[in-house]
Amino acid sequence: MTGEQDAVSRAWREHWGRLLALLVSRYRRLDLAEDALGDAFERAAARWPADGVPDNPAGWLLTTSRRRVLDRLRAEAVAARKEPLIVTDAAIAEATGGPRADPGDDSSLADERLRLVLLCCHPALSVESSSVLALRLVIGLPVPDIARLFLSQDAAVAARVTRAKRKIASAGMPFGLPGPDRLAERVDRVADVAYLAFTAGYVPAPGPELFRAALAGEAVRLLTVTREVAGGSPLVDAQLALMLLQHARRDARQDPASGELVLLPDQDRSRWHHDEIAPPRCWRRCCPTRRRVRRAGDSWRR
Amino acid sequence: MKYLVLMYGEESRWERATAQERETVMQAHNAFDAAVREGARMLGGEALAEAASSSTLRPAAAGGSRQVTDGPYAEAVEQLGGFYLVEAPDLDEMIALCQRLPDYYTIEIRPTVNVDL
Repeated sequence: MTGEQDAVSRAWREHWGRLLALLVSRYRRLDLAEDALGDAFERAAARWPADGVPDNPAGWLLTTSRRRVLDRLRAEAVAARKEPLIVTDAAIAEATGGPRADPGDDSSLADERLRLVLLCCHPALSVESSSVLALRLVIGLPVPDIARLFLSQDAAVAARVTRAKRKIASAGMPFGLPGPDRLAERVDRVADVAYLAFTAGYVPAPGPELFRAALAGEAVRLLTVTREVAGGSPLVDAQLALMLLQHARRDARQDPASGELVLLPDQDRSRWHHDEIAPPRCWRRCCPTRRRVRRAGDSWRR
Repeated sequence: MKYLVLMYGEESRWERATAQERETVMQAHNAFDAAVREGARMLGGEALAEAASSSTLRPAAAGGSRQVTDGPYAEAVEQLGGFYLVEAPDLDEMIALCQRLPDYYTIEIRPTVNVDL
């Protein structure tokens, strides 16, 4: 892989979710935003190897996708013969605060990313739909990858994503932040969604692999991103700690020679990812009281 | 957005209810109504007579007329007991408003669509 290709895939990993959140918050059109961002990455893959990687890759991608959205909006407007109306809307949006200047700045984007996560994990969507949608929109995994992770057909996953997006639009789910009194329960729902995806990664699958560490890894990422932007809660902290502790043992769970499952007492502890489990030990020490941890534990079992 | 709020519940529960329990239910509806008028728009709503009083018209065969049958379409313990039509900013607002309705109801929130012909 060349440096430019590497830069494109790194930008995808690091910026997809936040750029999508920014575009949705600006244009309030999930479908348009997603298509435009996909197009922008496609252009990046074509252009960066020739022109070099821009100084601010996220900014380049944002500008390119905004142009795509505006192109599409104009095309729709022409089709509907309502161009002046759309231009006015765009002008209003510009006047009432456009996107933040620097998409690389995490703190200014925290709200938009959290909004996107909460939208995907809205309680009016099933947990299964939420997990697929969150992996697609927040993490930016392509549909075939999600299908592979959930041992499902591409068409089935694509249909699930489409149905969920249609429900978001037709039911009028807001791209907004709930009040402080409801935020905690909504974030806890994200933890449920992430845990479903995580568990799906450890369900035995046909084939030589006993479990799919990649899916579990994406679930860990989803919850990590959420914790970054929403802050922790007893449930989120404890669950992320649990997931990290379990996930750090992934390489030791299967015997490389026989392919058999290796139980915890027999695992080669040198193959655990010790670097990944340093933080939760620290959180465990930080947890305010034992009672709160136990309460968080109860909600896993429900 | 306009939402139809459909309220389902066990019919016998209302019949069995004491005067005080009925008062609590009415207070919940009044609180809902007041909250809707504050943060959204009330477009209408009614309480419905018992499902047994309902008449169902089945689809007609080609060229024929509809058959009238007695009772509701589906046999179920929980029956549709009333509805509201509310214009609210979004689903979360609608859900928050519905939290005020009597707590034993099952509530369905259905968005309406504009049909342009």
